[in-house]
Amino acid sequence: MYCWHRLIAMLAGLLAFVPVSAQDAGDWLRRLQQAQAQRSYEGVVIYVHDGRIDQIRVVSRAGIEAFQRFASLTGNQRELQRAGGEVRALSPSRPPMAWPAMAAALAPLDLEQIARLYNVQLTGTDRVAGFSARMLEAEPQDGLRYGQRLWIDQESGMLLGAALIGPRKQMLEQVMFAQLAFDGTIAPAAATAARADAPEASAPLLPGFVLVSARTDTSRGLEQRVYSDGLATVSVYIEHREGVPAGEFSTRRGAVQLYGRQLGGSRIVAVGAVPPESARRFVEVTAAGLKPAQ
Amino acid sequence: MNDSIREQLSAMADGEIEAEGTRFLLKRLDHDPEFRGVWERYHLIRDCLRHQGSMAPVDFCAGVSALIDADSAAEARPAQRHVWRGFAGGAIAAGVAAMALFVLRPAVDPAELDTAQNGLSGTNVEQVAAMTTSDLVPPWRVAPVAERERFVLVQQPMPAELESYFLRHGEAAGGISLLGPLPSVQTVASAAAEPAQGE
Repeated sequence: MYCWHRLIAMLAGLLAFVPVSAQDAGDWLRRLQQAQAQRSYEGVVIYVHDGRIDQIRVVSRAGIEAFQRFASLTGNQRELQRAGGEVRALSPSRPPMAWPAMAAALAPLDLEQIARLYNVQLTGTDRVAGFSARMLEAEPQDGLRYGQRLWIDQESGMLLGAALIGPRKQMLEQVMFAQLAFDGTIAPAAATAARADAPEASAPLLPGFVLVSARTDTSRGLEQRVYSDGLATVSVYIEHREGVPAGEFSTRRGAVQLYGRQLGGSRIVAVGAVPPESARRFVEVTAAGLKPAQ
Repeated sequence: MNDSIREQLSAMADGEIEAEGTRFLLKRLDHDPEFRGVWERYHLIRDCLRHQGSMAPVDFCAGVSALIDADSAAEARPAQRHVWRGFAGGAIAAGVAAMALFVLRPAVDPAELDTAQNGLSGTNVEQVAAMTTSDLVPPWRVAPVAERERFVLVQQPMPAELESYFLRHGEAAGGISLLGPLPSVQTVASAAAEPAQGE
C-alpha cells in the first residue's frame, strides 16, 4: 500500500512538471509578443547602465486607445508620450519635439530565424518586482549582435526585465521592472500578420537583419528604416543635410550605439543596441546603396 | 636592438627591402629569439592598425590605436611618412601595450564576480560591466593611418539632433520588437555623459 501511494505521488509530481517542461523557449517568446500588445500596466523600471541607475515611470495602455508614457525620475527630466498616432518628447531644457508614431503592429515572429541567429534556451526562474519570472537566454551565433537575457512573467507573459550580454559574457546593461501593476483589462489578441505599411522585402543589410518597417518625416526630410533580427532592432536614418562637412560621428547611451556619417548632402545614421561595428556596417552598406543624386 | 634594425624589420614586413637585406634579416630571425619576438609583435600591431583579423584582443588593438593617436597628436606627421616608419617612434608605446596585454591581466577573479552577483540577486540588479573596454570601443578607429585620415571627425551634431535619433529609434523599436517598452526606456533615460540641464 505504501509503495502504491508513493508511486501515485511520483506520477502526480511528473504530471505537474510536464506543462512547464513542454513550454520551450519558443513558446515563451510567442507569449511574450502577445502579452506586449494585450496587457495594460503601470510601473517603475530601473535601467542600469554606464555605472549609474536610472528610474523611469512607464504607463502603457493596450487596445484601441493605446497610450504610452515614459518619464524619467532620475537625472534630467525627459518624457516621451505616444498617443493618437503621434509621439511627443518633452524636456524642460529643450523645445518639445513631435513626430508621427510608427504604426505599431505585430510582425510575425520568425522563431526559425531567431534560432538560426541565437542559441535560445530557458535558464531558470527568478522573482522580479514580486512576480515569478521565467528566465530565457539568447546567445548570439556571431559577433553582429549582443546576447540577451530576458525575464518573462510566468502568468501574463509580460517582459519583466532584459539584460544585454557582451561577447565575453559580461552584462552590458540591464532594464528591470522594480514596481509593476497590471490593469485588469486584457485587450483582444492582436493578429500577427504582415504589416500593412511593411516595406517590400529586400536583401538583409547585415546577416539576419530584415527590414520590418519604414517611415518618412517629410517635414524634416528624414527617412527611418527599421531592421530587426527578431530580438535586436536597428534604425537607419537617411537625412537630407546640405552644407555639412563630410565625416563621421558616434555616441552611445548605455549599449545603444549611434554611428553616423555625413556624405555630400546626405547624412546616414544607425542606432541600435548592437555592437559598434554592426552600427558602422549598417551605415556603410546603406551609403553604398544610395544613388549619387541623393 | 637599435632603431636602424627595427626600421629594416619594419620595411621587410612591408616587402620594401632588397633581397640581400631580407636574407640577412631572415638569417637573424632564425637564431635570435629577441629579434623574432619583435618581428611577431610588429605583425600583431600591423594587424591592429590595418584592422585585420588578429589574435590580439580588440582592446589591445584599441590601446595601440589610442597610443598612436596620442603620439600623432603630440607631433605632426610629415604627409608622406611611411606607416611603419611612422610607427617606429611609437614602438615603445606599443611595447608598453604589449606588456599590458601579457602581464596586466584583469585582476578580477571570476569566482569573486559570481559571489558579488549572488549578493545582489535579491535586488535583481546584477553586476554591470563597465563599457569602456572592447565591447564599446569603436573598432573603426583601429584602421590604417592613411585610411583614418580619409574621414575627419565632423563636428558632432547638436545634442538635440542626437536625442531625436535615439528617441525615434526607441519609439519605433518599442512598437515592433519583442522587448515592448524597454527600448523607449533606454532612450528616455539620461545619457551618462550628458551635460547637466541648461547646457
